[in-house]
Amino acid sequence: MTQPLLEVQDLHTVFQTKEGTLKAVDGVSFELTPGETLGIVGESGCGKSVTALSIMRLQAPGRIVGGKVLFKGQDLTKLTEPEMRDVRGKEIAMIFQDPMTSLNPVYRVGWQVAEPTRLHHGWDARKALASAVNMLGKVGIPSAASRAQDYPHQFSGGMRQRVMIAMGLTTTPQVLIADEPTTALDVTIQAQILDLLREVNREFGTATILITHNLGVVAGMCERVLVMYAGRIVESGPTKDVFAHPKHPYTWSLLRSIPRLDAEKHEPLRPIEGVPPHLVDLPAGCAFHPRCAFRIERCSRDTPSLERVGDTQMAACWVTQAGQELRGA
Amino acid sequence: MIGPERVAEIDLPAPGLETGAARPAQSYWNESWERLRANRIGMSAGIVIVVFALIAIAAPLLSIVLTHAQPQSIDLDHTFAKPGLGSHLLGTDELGRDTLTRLLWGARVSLGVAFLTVAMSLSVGTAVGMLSGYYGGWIDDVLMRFVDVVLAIPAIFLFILMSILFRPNAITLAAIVASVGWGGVARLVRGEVLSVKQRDFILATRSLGANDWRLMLRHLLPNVLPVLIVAASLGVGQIILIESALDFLGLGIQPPTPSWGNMLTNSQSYFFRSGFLVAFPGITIFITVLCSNLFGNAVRDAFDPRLKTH
Repeated sequence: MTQPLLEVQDLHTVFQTKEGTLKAVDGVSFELTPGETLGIVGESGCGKSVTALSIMRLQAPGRIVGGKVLFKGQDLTKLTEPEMRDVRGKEIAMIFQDPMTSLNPVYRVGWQVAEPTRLHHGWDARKALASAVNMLGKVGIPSAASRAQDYPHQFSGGMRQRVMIAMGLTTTPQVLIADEPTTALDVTIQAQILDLLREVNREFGTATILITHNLGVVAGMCERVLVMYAGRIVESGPTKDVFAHPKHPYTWSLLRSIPRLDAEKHEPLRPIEGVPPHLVDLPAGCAFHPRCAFRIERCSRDTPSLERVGDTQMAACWVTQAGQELRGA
Repeated sequence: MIGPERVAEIDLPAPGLETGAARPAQSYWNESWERLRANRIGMSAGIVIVVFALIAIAAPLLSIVLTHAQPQSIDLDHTFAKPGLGSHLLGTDELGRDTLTRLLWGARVSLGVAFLTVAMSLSVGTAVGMLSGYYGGWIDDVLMRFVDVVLAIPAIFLFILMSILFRPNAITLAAIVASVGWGGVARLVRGEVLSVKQRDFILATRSLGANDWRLMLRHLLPNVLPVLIVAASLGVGQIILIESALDFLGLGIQPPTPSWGNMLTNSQSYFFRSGFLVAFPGITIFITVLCSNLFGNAVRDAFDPRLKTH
C-alpha cells in the first residue's frame, strides 16, 4: 500500500452550545492516498462538513479537542496559524457547496482566481491573472480571457462552480476537498461538474475528498467511501463492495431508501424510520440503534468501534461483526 | 445504482451556450452609478453640493474676481447695504462687510468642517466596527460597550466643555463633532460585517490561505463600502446642521472668521434692520442640508440591492 498523503487519526471536534457540548466529529480516522478519490457520505448534520473544515482548521467556532491530522507526516492540528495559512489553498484546497455565494461579488472573477497564486507564490497581478485565465480555460470556461473580466453575478451556477474549481487548482494542491460541490446545481450541470472533477483528478493527480449526501455521486466518482453517522464513521471500504454488500445497517437502510433505475420490479422506497439523534444528547451504545432494524440487546449498551468485517470493508456494528449478513425484511 | 456517468451520456449543450452573448461588464458599482444617474432630483442635489464645494475651494479667488472684497474688510460707510446689482450683490452687514464674500468664505468653514468630520468619524467608526464585527468575542464586547458609553454622553455638554478647553478652529471642531459621530458608524459597520462575514466567500477566501488583514481590508471592506458611502452622504447634511448650531451658540467657529452659523448669530440682533442678513446664511444652510439629504437618499436608493431589477 502506498504511503498515505493525508491521515486523520481519532479526530474530535466539538461545539459549545447552550444545551451542552456538541460532538460534531467524534473519533474519525481515515487515510487518503495520493491521487485517490474518497467519498464521505451521510445525512445532513452527521459531521461530514465539520470533518473537512477541521482538516483545514476552519472549524471555528468549533474546537478540535483531540486527534491528529497528518499531512505528509506533519500534524496540521499542531501548526501555528501562519503555518496553517501556507497549507490552506496551497497544499489543500477546498470547494464549497454553494457557488452562488462562494465568490466575492465585488471582484472580477479573474482577480479572484488569481488570488491563491498571489498569496502563495507571490506572483504579481499580471502573471497571476495570466495563469488564472489559463486555468479558467482548462476548467471549461469558454473565452476565458474575456470572462475573467466579468463579475460573479454574470456567471451561471455551473460556471461559478467551475470558477471555484479553477481557484482551487491554480496552486496545484495535492488534496482537493469538495464539500457537496454539486448540491446547489441542477442535474445536468451536476454531471458536468463531476466530469470536470474526474478530469482534474486524472490530469493533475489531485487526491480528492468528495463530501456528499448523494450516493449516486459517490458511485460514479469514488474508489473508496466512508459512511458517517452522528459524528462517527460507521462503515468504510471500496465503493463497489460497500454498495453491493453493506456491512452496517445504516448504509443498508440508506441504499434501500433511494430509487434505482435497475430495480427488477416496481418496489416502494423505504425511508429510514425515525430521525437522526441530536448530537448533544446521543443515545447510549451505538448511535444508530433506535432506528436500526437489526438491533440486538448489546447495541443499546456498548458502542461498537470500526472493525474489519469481510475482506475489504470496515464497519462499526455488533451485528455484522458477529458475522451476520444484512438481509431485507 | 445510477451513476452520474449515465446522466452525462445525455447530449448536453456546450457549456458556452449558457453564458449567452458577450455583455459589457456590469459591476455592482456600475449598476449603482447608472441608477444614481437616472435619479434627476438626486443628481441635481449632488451637483449643487459639488458646486458649493468648488465655490468653497475657490473662495479666495472669487472674492478677488467676483466680489472685490475680503471677508473681514470693514467699510463703515456702507453698512446695512441692500442687496442689489451694485458692488454688494447680497448687501453688507453692520460693519459694511460684504455678505456674499462672507458666505463664500463661510462655505470653506462649514463644508470643510462637515467633510472633515465625516471623514474622521468614518475612518474611526469603520476601524472599530470592522475589528468588532470581525473578531467578535471579548473584543466585540469591549469595543461595543465603549461605543455605548460614547453614545450615552450628552453631546451638547461635551461640545460646551470641549469648546471651553480648546478654542475651536475648523480642525478641532471637526474632531469634537467626530468624537461623538463615530459611534453610530461603528455600529453600522459592525452590523454589516457580521452579516457579510457569514457569507460563504469569506470562508472560501480563508480556505485559500488569506490572513485576517487581507480578509478585512480586501474582502470585507469593499462589501461594506456601499453602507459607508450612504452614511457619508447622509452625514454631511447632519453635520452642517450641528456645526451651524454650535456656531450659532458661540461654541463653534469664533468671529470674525465667517461661518454660516456665526453669521446667523451675528445677524439676529439686526433682524428688523436688515432681514437679509438672517435670510442669506439661513437659506444657504437650508439649501446645503436639503441637497445633501436628497443626494444621500438618492445614493442609498442607488445602492440598495432590493431595488435591483435583475
